[in-house]
Amino acid sequence: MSRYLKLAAILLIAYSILAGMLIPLGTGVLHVSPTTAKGGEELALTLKAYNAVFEQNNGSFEARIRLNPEQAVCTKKIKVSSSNELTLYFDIPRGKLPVQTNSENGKKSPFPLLEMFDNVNGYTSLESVVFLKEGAPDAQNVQAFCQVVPFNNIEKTSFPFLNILEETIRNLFYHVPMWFAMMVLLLMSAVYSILYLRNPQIGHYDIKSSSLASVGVLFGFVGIATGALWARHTWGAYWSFDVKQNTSAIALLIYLAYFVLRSSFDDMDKRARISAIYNIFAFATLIPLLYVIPRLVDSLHPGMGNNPAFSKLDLDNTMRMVFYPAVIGWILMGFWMAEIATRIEKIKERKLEENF
Amino acid sequence: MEKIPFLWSQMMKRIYYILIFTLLPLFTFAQNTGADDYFGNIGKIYVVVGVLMILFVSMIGFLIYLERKITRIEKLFDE
Repeated sequence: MSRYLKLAAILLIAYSILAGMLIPLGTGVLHVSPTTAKGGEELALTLKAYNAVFEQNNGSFEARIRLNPEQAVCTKKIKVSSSNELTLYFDIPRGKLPVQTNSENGKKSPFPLLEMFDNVNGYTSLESVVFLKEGAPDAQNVQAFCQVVPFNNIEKTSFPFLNILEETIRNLFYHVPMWFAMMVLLLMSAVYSILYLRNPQIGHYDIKSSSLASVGVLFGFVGIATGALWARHTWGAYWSFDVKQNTSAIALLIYLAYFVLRSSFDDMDKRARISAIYNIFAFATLIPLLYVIPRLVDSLHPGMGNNPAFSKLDLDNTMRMVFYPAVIGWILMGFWMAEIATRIEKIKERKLEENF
Repeated sequence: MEKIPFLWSQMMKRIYYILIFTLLPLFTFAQNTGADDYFGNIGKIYVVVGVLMILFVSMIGFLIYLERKITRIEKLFDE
């Protein structure tokens, strides 16, 4: 491995840690009160925001509750109580409100959707903000709605704020690359196993294969541990028996058996041959365990239940700028680590050959 | 009094113990009752810190693994 690749690994990982920790989150709404509103009455919606700078005399402030893609109830007055708390006043129309309850793709409808915009904080939204109760229609029954016009967004380098996730969205740069790197390392390990079986006289293919597998499994365990900590504070438990958690644990146990198998042979050639065959089969089970089964069933992980991962919501452009360097950096780091383990193992092999 | 020889391996063992006992609290305080409030602070940023700590500790773990491998080879050369 060339020294430039090693340097690239260091720089990319350093960049991903620095940028991943230093870029702020966008403004987001933490919670609102009250949670119900009645038609024909005035709604004074008090909200607490995260990472916000609200000012009373900010002329650019706009807010609305969207009922469907075209119609919204616009705010008539805004009162700022502190830099992250404000009250929005709405007049909810009487009669049956045209709230769209189900969206096209069968997902939960975001409406009524609270949307806010100002020049300092940018665009902020909160789905299903209030439960709207129908008010008795009066004689004329005139419902006044304002048209939804797109807000002019401001350019702001920030990660998206998602409720529940909040700052832990940054874990994407430290948890997910582990799995990418594990996958690449174990793939290369399987490739070296095939190469060994084709040319058994080249001994270092076996050493390479086993050190790549050991670093890959290390990354897998780091992935499980970081994922468990993340899950504790977002899904509520270290281990919630999610499909992907279970299948990845099974996959890692299969690889642990690979190391047990390796250590149970005294004869070097026999060990190399049998563990190479086992390694190929282990990799063959890894693909359905991590990439097929979790997609077929519902899971807490994003990209499950027939959805592709990395939809627009999971990963926006600012996050891509940190995420992909992190993936490449950790893959290179994994190869570097495996290379060191291989070299150490080679020296040992050479010394053992000299001794006999 | 007989002079006790300085043993590098003993030194390393001590370093491992220090590392283990300083890093253990990191994982145990997650089980405390007040941990939720602590980890939930400032938009749950400490969860990210915890994840980075796990990464750091595992990299140290890999270093220790290499160390032990090299020590074994050094013994081979000494024989």
